[in-house]
Amino acid sequence: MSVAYALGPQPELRIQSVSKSYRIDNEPLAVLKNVSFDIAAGEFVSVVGASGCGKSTLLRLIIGLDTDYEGDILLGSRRIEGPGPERGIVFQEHRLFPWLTVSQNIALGLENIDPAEANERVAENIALVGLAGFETVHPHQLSGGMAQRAAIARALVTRPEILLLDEPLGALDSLTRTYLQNELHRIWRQERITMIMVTHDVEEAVYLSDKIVVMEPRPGRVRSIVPVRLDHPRHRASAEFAAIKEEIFSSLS
Amino acid sequence: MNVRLLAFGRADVRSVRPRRLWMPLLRPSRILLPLVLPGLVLVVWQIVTVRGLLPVQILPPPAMVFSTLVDLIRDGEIVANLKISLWRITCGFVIGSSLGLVFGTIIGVSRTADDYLGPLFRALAQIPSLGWVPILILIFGLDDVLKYLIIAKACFVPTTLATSQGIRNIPRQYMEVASVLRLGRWSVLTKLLVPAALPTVFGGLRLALSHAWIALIVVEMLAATEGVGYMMVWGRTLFQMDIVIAGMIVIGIIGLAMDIGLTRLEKRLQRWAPSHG
Amino acid sequence: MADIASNASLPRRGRDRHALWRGLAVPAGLIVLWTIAARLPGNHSQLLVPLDTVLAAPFVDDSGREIWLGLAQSVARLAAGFSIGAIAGVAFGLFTGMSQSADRAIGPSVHALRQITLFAWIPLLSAWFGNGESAKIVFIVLSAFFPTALNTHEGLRAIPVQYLELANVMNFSRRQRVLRLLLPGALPSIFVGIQVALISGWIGTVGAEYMLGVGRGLGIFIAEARGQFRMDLVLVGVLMLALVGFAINTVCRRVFRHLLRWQGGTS
Repeated sequence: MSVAYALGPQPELRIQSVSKSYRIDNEPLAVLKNVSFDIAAGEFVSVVGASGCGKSTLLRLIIGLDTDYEGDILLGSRRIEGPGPERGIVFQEHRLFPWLTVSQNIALGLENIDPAEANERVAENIALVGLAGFETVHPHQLSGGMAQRAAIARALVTRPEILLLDEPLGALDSLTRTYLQNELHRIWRQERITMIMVTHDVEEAVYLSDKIVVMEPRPGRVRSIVPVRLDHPRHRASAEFAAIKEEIFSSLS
Repeated sequence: MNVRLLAFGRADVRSVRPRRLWMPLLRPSRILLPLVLPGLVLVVWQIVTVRGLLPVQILPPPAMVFSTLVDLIRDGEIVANLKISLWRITCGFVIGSSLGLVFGTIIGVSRTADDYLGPLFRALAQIPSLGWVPILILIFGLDDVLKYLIIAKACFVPTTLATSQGIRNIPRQYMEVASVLRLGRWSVLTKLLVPAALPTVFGGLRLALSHAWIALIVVEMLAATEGVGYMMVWGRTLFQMDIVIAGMIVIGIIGLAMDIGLTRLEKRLQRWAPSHG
Repeated sequence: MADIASNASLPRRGRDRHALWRGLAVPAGLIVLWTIAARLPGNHSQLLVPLDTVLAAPFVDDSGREIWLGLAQSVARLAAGFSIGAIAGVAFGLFTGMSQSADRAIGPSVHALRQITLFAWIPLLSAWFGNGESAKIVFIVLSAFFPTALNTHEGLRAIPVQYLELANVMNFSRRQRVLRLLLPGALPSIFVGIQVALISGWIGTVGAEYMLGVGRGLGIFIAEARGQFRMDLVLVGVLMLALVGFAINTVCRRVFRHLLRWQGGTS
């Protein structure tokens, strides 16, 4: 476990000419081609694009589940070579272990920490995501939205500096989705951490992000990077909001 | 298409099923109906035997079977034979299943081990326990080793298959969570591998026990001088069908008891799972 | 994420050939050891017969050639017993699966009988029907009946309520209900039952022959070989027992997959 970067300023994530291809029947298939962009500390960045643009692959590279790529993904000055405690991820499916309770699931990442402190941090994060009272419940008893909050708490409990979100609200109904978007925004504000979210939902991206990376498919490339300079709370019905949405939609098609 | 009619959820199921108006009249049927057939069989059985339509050596009267069963229990004959049978099955099950757990874990975790040993194992697993009996009789004679080996083999195969499958089928998504959270080996084992594979492994153990029970009866009928299976063969040789039928009843009850016991245990071990679906 | 999920199996292709060789390595080693041990000058054991002698037995050995007649007899017996048992089992399963009252009346009794290990019927059957053909056939019928009955019943029970509702909404006639919904819906499960019944019937055939003797058959062939301490013939017989079981499984899987094409790639 490297501590070096923790002493310096908050890390800035730099993605520098990253390319990634899979071999299918010994033919290389490019999934990402020459992708570059930077993420400042504390920024909320969304990545949008049609399916097949490699946005989920990009997240897997950043979290370190896949280390076989060209180019560099730099955390501070260090190249990412696998999962680390400074990065957390929320997958599209909650992926809670069904045999553990909510609090046991959230505590999973805290195995090397003093039990008393671990308990405290679990309780803290359960409160943060609004699941107080559901500590001893098993995942199958939770609704989709609640399970996803538990997954967010599990990712946050290790106090990452960067939280990756892989279409975290994609499988939820629209009411729950809107509600959790606000919750996500609140958590981002409260915890002041960097968030990188992959999504299909342009409105969601505009609502939450400081910056939106628009990608195009086959192979996955960055088409444009759209800054969102709107004050929070943002109004989905406002003209400025619609204008940015329009800009992204036109960039997507 | 009339969408509204098709869109009702599961909650409305009851109202859609055609209502059977005569059902309330037959309410007691729930308890009585299942007893009608056995009752009829008993009556016919009684009439046939009392009228002397079939000799006692072919079909003894029900009362005689019952009193034989009681006698066999009272004079300890059944208990003594059962003790031997259950001891054999326990030893065979413990040996075969624990070897199966170990071997199944090895070929489940390591692809290489599976490449080398899997095909041979799967080929040998094609041979039913019944096929091993004559081979092992030639090697070991009618010794007790034969019985333990047959039962252990009957347990080894399903346990191995279930364990390796249970481990291999753990969703990759969960393994990724473990990797992202950087869980240690021990945590991965206790919090992921074991609980995730447990339902499948347990299914295998249940299958193992029922296979063991079948193998026990077969091997006791073919090559034993004691045990429940032998008791029946002996009754058959003496043309004492009451003993044979009593043996069948005992075998049925024990088989049922083992299955119920394991199902209960399985449910207890999986309290986290949703109760339906 | 879907684009990545499909890639998990990619590296397998190249190593399938390796896997084949690795799979053959251990059995090949064992066979070499067996051959060497059996050919050692000091070996006069009747138990340790060289593999080539075992494999040649059905062709060159006089007693060994008997296996073909026995096999033919056994398969014929299986065919007879299985057809009766499977037809009765499917009929029984359909009956109890479609009628709740029939299920209540007969189901529990049959389930109780099913708890009795199949081979435990043999002493009773041999007393009732003698050791000849009829006892064996009845035993095979029983071995095939229970799996088909159970799986047919379960198959009907597992038809999704939504489909039954659809049939009601569309006012299916009784005939349509059976032919368009119940039978095809239960078919996958019925096929599973048939496959299990064939295997259990096959083991039942050889087992009954082995235990009851009298006449010809693979089980009797093995029993006689054992009586004469002919390990080579026992091994050949058991190998044949396993091969036929393997063939039954393979053929069933192919045929049923073809018949159930509408299910798509699943299972």
